[in-house]
Amino acid sequence: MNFKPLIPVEGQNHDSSPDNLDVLLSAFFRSEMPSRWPAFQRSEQQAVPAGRRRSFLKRSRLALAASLALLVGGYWVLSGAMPSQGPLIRLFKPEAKRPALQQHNNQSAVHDAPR
Amino acid sequence: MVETGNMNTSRPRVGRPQNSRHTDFEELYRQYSREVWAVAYARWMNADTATDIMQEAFLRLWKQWGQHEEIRNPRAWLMRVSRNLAEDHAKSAFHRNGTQPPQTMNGVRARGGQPLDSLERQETFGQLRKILWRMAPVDREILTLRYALDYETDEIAELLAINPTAVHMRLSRARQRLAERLKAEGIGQLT
Repeated sequence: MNFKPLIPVEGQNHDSSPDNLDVLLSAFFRSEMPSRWPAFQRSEQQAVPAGRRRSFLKRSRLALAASLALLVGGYWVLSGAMPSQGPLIRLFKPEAKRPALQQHNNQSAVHDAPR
Repeated sequence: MVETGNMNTSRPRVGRPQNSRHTDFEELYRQYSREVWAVAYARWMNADTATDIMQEAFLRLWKQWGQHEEIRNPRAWLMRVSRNLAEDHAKSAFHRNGTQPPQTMNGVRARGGQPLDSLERQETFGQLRKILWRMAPVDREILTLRYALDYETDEIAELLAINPTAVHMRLSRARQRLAERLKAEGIGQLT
């Protein structure tokens, strides 16, 4: 079967008889239908297989463990490299905290005293 | 939004084994998937879109079954859902922003056969597709059911829930309109 596409030509007698139209339409619609009819795809078939899911979990746990190790190791390395008398460190020393804490305790004692 | 109307009932499928449910569903798919495809295809004239809509309609049916809701008339339910899905496709972001498939762009689709014959054939089909696209959706639907599925008047009448006389009339008018347009554009001459 062969269809000839034509550019409209004046006076030309085009054959669009019912038989021809049937043949043309049948061929067209058949060509449009999938040649291999697709099987139904259930959602669970599209889900990730269990094996792949497990390996993904394993990898993500490893990545988390490595990140934590890096964080702790980095902290130790940096704290060793920093001078111990730095201003930030001094702030967190017990002596640095004591006056403020004492002042606060004194104020609380005044407020809480029985009248 | 997909309407399910009053075709659903909440009667649970008591005592229905899982295997039987699978078999029933496979049978429904085998029986009605082509009809669902044809309805979706007639709306958009795109085979891939029609296949997607068909899969989605059956997936929804499968989920309904999973919720133990019985559908009295699955065929009518599927027809309704596929029509709604086809309409919803117009509102989807992909349809609004996506690209057109190659067959819509130029009517040429790679398939087997002699290159020149195949090219001529695909060009004719591309022109035919454009003409069909400009026709009314009801005309496209009836032509798709008649020629894609090879349905007789009675079968189409049953599917569309209309009188066979009305089917005959619609089909006849659709064919006439199509023949006039084909003649005007000089398409479809057999060699």
